[in-house]
Amino acid sequence: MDFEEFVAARGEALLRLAQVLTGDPFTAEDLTQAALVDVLRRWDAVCGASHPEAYVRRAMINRFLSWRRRRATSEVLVADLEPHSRDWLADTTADLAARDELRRALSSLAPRARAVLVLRYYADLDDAAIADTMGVSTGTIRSTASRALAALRLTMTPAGREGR
Amino acid sequence: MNEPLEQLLRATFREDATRMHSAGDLASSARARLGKQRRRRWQIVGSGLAVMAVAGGIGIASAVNDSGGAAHPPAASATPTTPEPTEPEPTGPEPDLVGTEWQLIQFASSGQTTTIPADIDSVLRFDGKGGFSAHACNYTGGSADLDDQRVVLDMGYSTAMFCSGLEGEVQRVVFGTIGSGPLDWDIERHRLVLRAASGDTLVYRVRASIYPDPSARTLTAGERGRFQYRVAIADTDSGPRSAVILDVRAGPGTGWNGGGSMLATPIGSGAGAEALLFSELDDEYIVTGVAPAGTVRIVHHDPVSGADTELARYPVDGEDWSVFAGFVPSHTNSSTISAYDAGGDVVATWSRDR
Repeated sequence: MDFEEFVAARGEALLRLAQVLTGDPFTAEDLTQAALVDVLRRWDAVCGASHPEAYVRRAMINRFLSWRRRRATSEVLVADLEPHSRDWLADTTADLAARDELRRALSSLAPRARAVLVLRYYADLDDAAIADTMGVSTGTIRSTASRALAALRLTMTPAGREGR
Repeated sequence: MNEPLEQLLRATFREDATRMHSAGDLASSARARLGKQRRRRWQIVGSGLAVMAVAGGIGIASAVNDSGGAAHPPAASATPTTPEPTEPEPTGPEPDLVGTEWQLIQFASSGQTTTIPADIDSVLRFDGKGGFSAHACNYTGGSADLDDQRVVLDMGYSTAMFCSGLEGEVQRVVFGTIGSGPLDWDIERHRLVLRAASGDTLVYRVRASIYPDPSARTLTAGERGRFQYRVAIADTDSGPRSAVILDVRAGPGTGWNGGGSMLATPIGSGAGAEALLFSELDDEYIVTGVAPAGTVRIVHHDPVSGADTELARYPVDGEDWSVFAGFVPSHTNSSTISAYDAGGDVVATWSRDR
């Protein structure tokens, strides 16, 4: 498989993953391009690997974490979320509100924790595959995910974390 | 595992995924971006050895045995080369529109004529297979419909880096002109003139080198089947270290896509896969890297094909290490490269796992 064939087949999926990781379409495009440039440098080796997409995903995660580390010093935390009831809202509106609340809660997580959740709940990778992608142990993934979920539960309102 | 929060995470991520921009031509953009990075990374100083475009089309410094028997790219010194001129003399037969590297030297827009400084390298090329590529700060390419008077270029992709100053103005005029519709073209005195219906005009000369970085010092270059390649050495802005450059493309007029560049790190110094450049050609590979001091022989071994291939070495002025390069029938994850000293002992090895 050449590089163009791979990107034609999997480029959109990679862009979607970048979008979920970054939450911003412009940064997602940059992240996808940067990851593809990384693998293009050694494409012959990448396409010779048993799972080229896993290689590209790893490049993307590494880039994402690296970018976030560099930008961390200039980021300002948003104010604490203010709990309030949404009982009176219609179900659909409540779903939207819950997702919005979740997005704000996700933005307060460490990049590594967010990446674990994205790989687990969006990319549907099991913990072993996530560990391989991020270059850490399976135990670390489990504990990171557990702490991340606990942080979300702590941050979000009861209605928000129940999705209503 | 399917508690509400986790369901909400899945739903939210799925929704976020739909908010992306169009995928566009990611592959072409990545290739263009890689090319741009290479040019920006290596700040070249000093003039290069000579590979030049010759009248009547593009010239290659040296040609390799196309029969497939030769494992060694020939040394540049083994083949006559011509010093790179500052201005190609307009002598000899006119160059072909197709297959020539055209470099912008002047444009006229809205009645104003602008001469392009030498450090702005805006190139246009046609591959003769219905395609074109160009760059003017950003990169573009797509289909080219040619006849003997007119050319219609369809910009199928372009990159979108921010460009300012004269470089940005050159891009605005070039992209605007070539994307404006049918262009009249003419070649006279080795100058290609493209004229739009608006009267805007682009004037190109034959670029002095076909290679992406014209000032890198060519160690070996040539043709191999339909491919063109070059192995070169360049100074860098990373202190005293040099860079090894491998340029590969699938024929005249196509973009330079294969290969890559790396700091001149000798094999065996722990850099692993980063210490080797290689590119797949149709049914073989070209590999290049840096042999440590004391190397007199260097052999590529591929256990899959069982082939042992001796690679050529190219000395580098002022250095005790040398650059090796050659064609091998197969290069896989299990391939190895061994450097031997005069006593026949292995002084360094390369393998992907290092």
